[in-house]
Amino acid sequence: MQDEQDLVRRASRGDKEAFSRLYESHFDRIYRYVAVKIGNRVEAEDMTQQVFIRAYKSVGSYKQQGVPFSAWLFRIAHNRMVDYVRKESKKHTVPLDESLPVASESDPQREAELRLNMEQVAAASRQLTKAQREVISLRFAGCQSIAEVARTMGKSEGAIKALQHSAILALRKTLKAGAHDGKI
Amino acid sequence: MAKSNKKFENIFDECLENLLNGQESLEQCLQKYPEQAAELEPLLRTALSVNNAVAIQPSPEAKARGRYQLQLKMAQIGKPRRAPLLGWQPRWAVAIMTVLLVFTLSGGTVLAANSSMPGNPLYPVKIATENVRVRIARSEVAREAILATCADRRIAEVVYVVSKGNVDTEKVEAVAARYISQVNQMSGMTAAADQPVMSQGVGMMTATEPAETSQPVAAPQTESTAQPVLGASQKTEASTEKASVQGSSPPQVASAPNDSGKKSAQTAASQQDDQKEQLKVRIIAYGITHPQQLEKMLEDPKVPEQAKLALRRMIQNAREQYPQAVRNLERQQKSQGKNDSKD
Repeated sequence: MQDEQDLVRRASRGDKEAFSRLYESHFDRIYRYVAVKIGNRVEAEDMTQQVFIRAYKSVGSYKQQGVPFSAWLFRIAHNRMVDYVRKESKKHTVPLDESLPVASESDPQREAELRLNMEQVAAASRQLTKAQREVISLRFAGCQSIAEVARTMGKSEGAIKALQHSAILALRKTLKAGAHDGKI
Repeated sequence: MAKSNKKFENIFDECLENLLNGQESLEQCLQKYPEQAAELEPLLRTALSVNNAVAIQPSPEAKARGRYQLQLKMAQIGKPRRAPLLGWQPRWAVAIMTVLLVFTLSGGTVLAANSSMPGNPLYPVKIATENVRVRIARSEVAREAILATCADRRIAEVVYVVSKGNVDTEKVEAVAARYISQVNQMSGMTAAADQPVMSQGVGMMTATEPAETSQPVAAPQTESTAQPVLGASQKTEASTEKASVQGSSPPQVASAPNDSGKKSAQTAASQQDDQKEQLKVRIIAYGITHPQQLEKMLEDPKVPEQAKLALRRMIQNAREQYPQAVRNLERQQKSQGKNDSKD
C-alpha cells in the first residue's frame, strides 16, 4: 500500500515509469470491470486504455480525492462507461458479447460452463437496479472488497452489504425462474 | 427483522469474502453458521457462479498493446495536470468559480462600474473603487492625478443627470459635494484625512502618473455622449494604475551613490517632472472646461434652482482650486529643479 502511494506520488510528478507500474497492477481488474459492463472484448481493451490515459492526465489532482487509487480508477472507468452506454443507447441496446473469453481456456468443459453462467448472469443482471449492478460489477469483476466498493460508490459498508445481498438474492430468483421456464 | 437482516448480510459477506479468498470452503462456512446454512448455501453458490462468470482475463497481447499506447500518450502529454487550487469540485461549481474568478480578476465589476452613473446599481462600486485608488496611490502626484480624473468624472455625471430631463436635485447636490471635495483634495486645500498616501519620500522619486494626458472634453448633452468623457477618464486611470505598479519597483535612489545609481535617480526625477508637467496641462484644461460645461447647464431652464446653486458652487470651486493646484505643481517643479542643480 505504501509502495502504491509512493508510485502515485511519483506518477503525479510526471514519473512515467511509476505510472506504468500502476498500469500493470490495475489493468486486469479495470479491464474485467469494463468488459463485463460493455460486453465487448475489443472495445473493453480500448476503453481500458482510455481509462489509464485519462488517469495519467489527472493523476496530479488525485491527492485531493480522498479515496484509494483503485477506487479513483474505477470511478474514471465508471464515468467512461456512462458516456459509452449513453452513446450506444442512441444507436442500439448493448448486449453482452457472447464471445467474451473465460478464465481457463485450456479446459473446454469449464469454459462452456462459465460461458453459460456468464450469459445467465448477464441476462439476470438486467433485472437489477443500477446500484445493485454496480455492486456486482465492482465486487466480482473489479475484485473489490466491501470497503473498496463503499469508497468507490460513496456509500457506507452496511449499505453495500445490503445491496450485495439483495442483488445476489434477485439474481438467484431470476436465474431460478429462467431455469424453470427453460430459458436458461 | 431489520436487525436480523443486517446480521445475515454480515454473515453472508464474511463467508463470501472467505470463499473468494480461498480461506474457507463452502462446507466449512456452512458449518460455522448452521442456523443460517439453509439460507446461506444457495446464495453463496449463486455468488460463486457470478464470480466465475466474470473471471475473464485480458489477452497478453491486448495488455502489451495497451502498454505501448499508454507510453506513446504519456510521451505526448508530458507531465500530468497539476491539482486544482481548491481541490475537487463538482463541474458546475468549477464553472461558476471560474467565471467569478475571471470576472473578479479582470476587474469586470469594476470596469462595469466605471461607466455607471448616479442612480445605477454599480455607482457605489465606482465611488468605492475611486476611494481605494486614492488611498493606495503610491505618490502625491499619482494621487492628484487620480483625483483629477475623479473630478472629471463628476462633471460627466452631472451632465448626465441634467440631460435626463426631470432633473434630480439631490443627485446633482451629491455629485457636486463629491466634486468639490475631490478638487479641494487635489489642490491641497483640504487634506484627505481618511486617505493617506501609502508611500512618500523616496517613493516620490519613483512616483508616476498617467502617461497619457486626457484632453478637455466637450460638454456632452445626452447620455450617449457622456460615454467618451468616461472613456477618456478610464484610459487615464488605467495608465495611472500601471504607473503605480511601476512605482512599486525598488527605489533606485536609495541605492549606493555610484554612477549607475545617480543615473537611475536622474531618470526617475526626469520622469516625475514629465508626469507633473502632464498633470499640470490636464489641470489647466479642466480649470477652463469644467466651469464652461457647468455654466451651460445654468442656462438650461429645466434645471431647478436648488440644483443650479449646487452647480454654481462647483464653478466657484473649480475657478479657485484648479489654479491653486497648478501653482502647487509649479512650486514643486521649481523646488525639484533647485535640488537637481545642487546635485
